[in-house]
Amino acid sequence: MLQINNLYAAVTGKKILNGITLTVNPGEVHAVMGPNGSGKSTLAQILAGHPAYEILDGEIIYEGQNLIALEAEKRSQAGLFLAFQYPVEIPGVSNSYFLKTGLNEIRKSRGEQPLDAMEFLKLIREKMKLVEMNESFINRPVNHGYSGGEKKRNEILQMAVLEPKLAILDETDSGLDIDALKVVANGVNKLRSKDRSMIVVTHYQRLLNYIVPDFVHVLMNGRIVKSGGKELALELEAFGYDKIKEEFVNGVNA
Amino acid sequence: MNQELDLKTSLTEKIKLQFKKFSENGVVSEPNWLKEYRNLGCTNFEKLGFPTQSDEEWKYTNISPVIKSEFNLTGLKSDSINLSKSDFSKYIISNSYTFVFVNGQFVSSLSVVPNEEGIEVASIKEIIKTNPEILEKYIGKVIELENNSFASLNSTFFTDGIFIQVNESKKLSKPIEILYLSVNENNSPRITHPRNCIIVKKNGMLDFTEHYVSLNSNKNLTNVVTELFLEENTKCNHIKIQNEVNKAFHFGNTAISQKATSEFFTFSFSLGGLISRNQIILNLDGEKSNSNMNGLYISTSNQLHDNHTLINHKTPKCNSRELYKGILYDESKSVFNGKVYVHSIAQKTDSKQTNKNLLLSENATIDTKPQLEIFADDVKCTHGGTVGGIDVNSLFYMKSRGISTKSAEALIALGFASEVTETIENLDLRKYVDTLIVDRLEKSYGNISLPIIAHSS
Ligand SMILES: Nc1ncnc2c1ncn2[C@@H]1O[C@H](COP(=O)(O)OP(=O)(O)OP(=O)(O)O)[C@@H](O)[C@H]1O
Ligand SMILES: [Mg+2]
Repeated sequence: MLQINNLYAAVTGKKILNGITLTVNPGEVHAVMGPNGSGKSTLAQILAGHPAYEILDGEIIYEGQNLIALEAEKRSQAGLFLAFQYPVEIPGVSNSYFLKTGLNEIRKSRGEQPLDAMEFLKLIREKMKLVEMNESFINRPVNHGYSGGEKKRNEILQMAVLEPKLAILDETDSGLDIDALKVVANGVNKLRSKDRSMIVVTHYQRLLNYIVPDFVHVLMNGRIVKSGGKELALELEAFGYDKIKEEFVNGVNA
Repeated sequence: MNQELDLKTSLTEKIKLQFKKFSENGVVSEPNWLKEYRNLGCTNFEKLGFPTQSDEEWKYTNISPVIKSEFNLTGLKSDSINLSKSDFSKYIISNSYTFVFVNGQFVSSLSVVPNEEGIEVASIKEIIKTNPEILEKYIGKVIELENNSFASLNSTFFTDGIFIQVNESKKLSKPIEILYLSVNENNSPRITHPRNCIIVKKNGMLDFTEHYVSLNSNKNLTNVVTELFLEENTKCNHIKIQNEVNKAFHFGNTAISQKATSEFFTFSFSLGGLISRNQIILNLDGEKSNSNMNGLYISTSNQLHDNHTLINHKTPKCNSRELYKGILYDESKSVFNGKVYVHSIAQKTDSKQTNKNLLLSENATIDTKPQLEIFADDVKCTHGGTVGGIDVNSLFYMKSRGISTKSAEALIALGFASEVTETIENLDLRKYVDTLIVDRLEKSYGNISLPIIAHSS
C-alpha cells in the first residue's frame, strides 16, 4: 500500500526528516510515537502533499505510483486521508458543502456519479451519528468557532464520509475527553478492514488500547529509531524516550 | 497644466450652454427655490470641473475615460423605449415593491407601487409638480455640493428619482426595490442623474434597495444622489447593488442624517461598471444612534471600484461599525478610503472600521486608506485593514479533501464574501446578492457549481 524509502525532507531550509523508511501493507495499523518536534506531523503533512515541504531525497510509493509527483487533491482522490493535528478553519464555508464538494470530486475522479443534495444529506447524517456529532454542525462553517474536541471529531466525520484506503491520524486523540476518545476510536475501528490501512500518530498509549496497532514506531530527530509490536507503546509509557535514546546512541556507536 | 486649464474652460462653456438649454426645455415652471438650487449646482460645477488625480480625494481614480466620452451632460434625450416586464424580470427581488426607472425616468406601468396607509411614495418628477413644498424641506439638506463635482452636476440636471416618506410610526409591509435600468438603444453615450429623497419620520421603519443594471452593453453614465433623513428612533435598511454593464460609469453620492436612537444599516455591492465610485457620508446627528455600513466589491478584468466613506460622529454615545471587503481579479483596481471623524462633543463614541481584501491576481491593485480623526477623549475607536491572497493552509486543507485548486479558491472567496453578506437581514435580498456573487465567481472559475452560501448563525 505505502512504501517510504530513505526519505529526507526540509522546510524553509531546515532539515526535519533524516532518512525515514516505512512499509505499510493493506489492513495494517501502524502507530507512530515520538517526542515533540521529532517530525511526526512533518511526515504526515508530506504524505498528504503540503507544498511547503521540500523533499531532499528518497521516495514515497503509494499503490504503485510515485506519490511525490501528485497534487494534494489527487492523493485524496486516490484514497489517502490525513486527519490534521491542527484542523484549519474556513470561515463562511459550510461543513456540508465543503465535504460534499470533496466527496463528489473524489467520486468524479473514479468515474462515479456525484451524490445529489438529498443523498449526501442522508450520508452525512448517518456518519454524524457514528461520531456522535450534533446535526447543527452540518451548516456551521468548517471548524470555525469549534472547540478543540469538536474539530477533532469533525476530522473523523470527514474520514468516515470519504472512506479512505490509507488514513493518517495526526494526534486525533489530543484534546479529547475520555468519552470522545471512545467515540473517535469507535469511528476509526468501524473503518478498519483488510484492505484499509492506518498510520496513527499519538503521544498516548491510551488510544492504542482502543485502536490496537500491528506495529509501533518511534520517531526521533526525523528518523525511526525503533520499531516493534504493540508492547513497545507500553514500554514507552513506562520508561519514556530516554531509554530508547540511549539504546539508539549505543546502537549507532557499536 | 495649461492643457488642463483649456479643458476646463471649454467644459465651463459647455455646461453653461447645456444648462441654458436645459432650463428652456421645461423647468421654467419649477419653483424658484429649485431653480436657485440648480443654479448653485451649475456654478459649483463650473468652478470645479471634473475631478482630476491631483485632487487628493481622487488620487487613485482616473476618470479621464469619462471625460473623453463627451456626454451630453443634461441627460435629456427624446427616445421612447418600450419594455415589457420579461425584459428585466431577473432583476426583480422577490417579495418587494418595485419602482422601475428606464434611463432615469419613472415608468409607472412597469412598477408595482405600494398603496399603504402612512407612506408617501412617488417619483421626484411627480412630487415637483404636485407637492414641491415637501421637497423644499429636504432637497440638498444633507448632501453638500461644495467640492463635489458629481453631486453638483446631479443637482443641476436631475429630473427624476424616488421620493419616499414614511410617516410617524409607520412601516411598509414589504421592502421597496428601486430598479434603475439603463437601455441605451443607440450608440451615443448617455448620462442619467437620478435623485432620491428618503424620509423616515419618528419611530418609522423602512427597507429599500437601489438596484442599478444595464439591459444592453452600450456605454452609459449613472450619476446618482440619494439623501436620507432618519428621524428619532427610526430603523432603516438600505441596500445598493451596482451591477451595470462593464462599459458603464457609475458615480453615487449618498448622504444620511441620523437622529437620536435611530438605527441604520447599509450594504453597498459594487459588481459592474468600468469605473464606479460610491461616496457615502453618514452623519450621526442624534445621540445614541447606531450605524452599520458594509460593502463588498468584486472587481475583474480592468474594472475600477472606488468606495469613499465618511462617518461623522457629531453627537455623543453613537455606535458605528463599518466592514468593507473586496475580491480582486485580473488587472482590476479598487480603492477604499474610509474616514471616521469624531467631533469633540461626541464623547462615548464606539466605532470600528475594517477593510479586508482578497487579492487573487498579481496584476490587481488595491489602495486602502482607513482613517480615524478623533477630537473627543472618551471614545473607543479601532480601525484596520488586510490585503492578502488565499491562505496556503486553507487551500491545502481543502485540497487534502479532494477539492481541486480552482474549486477550493472559489469556495474560499465565497466564504470570504459571506462574512459581509451575512449581515443583510432580509433573506430574499441576501439570497439575491448571494446568487450574484456565485454567478460572478463561476465566471472566474468556470463551471464548478457553487452553492448558495450556507449561512452560519
Ligand atoms: N512550516 C514550518 N516552518 C518551520 N519549521 C517547521 C515547519 N514545520 C515543522 N517545523 C519544525 O520541524 C520540527 C518538526 O515538527 P513537527 O510538527 O513535525 O513535530 P511533531 O513530531 O509533530 O511534534 P508534536 O509532537 O509537538 O506535534 C519542529 O522543530 C518544527 O518547529
Ligand atoms: Mg505534530
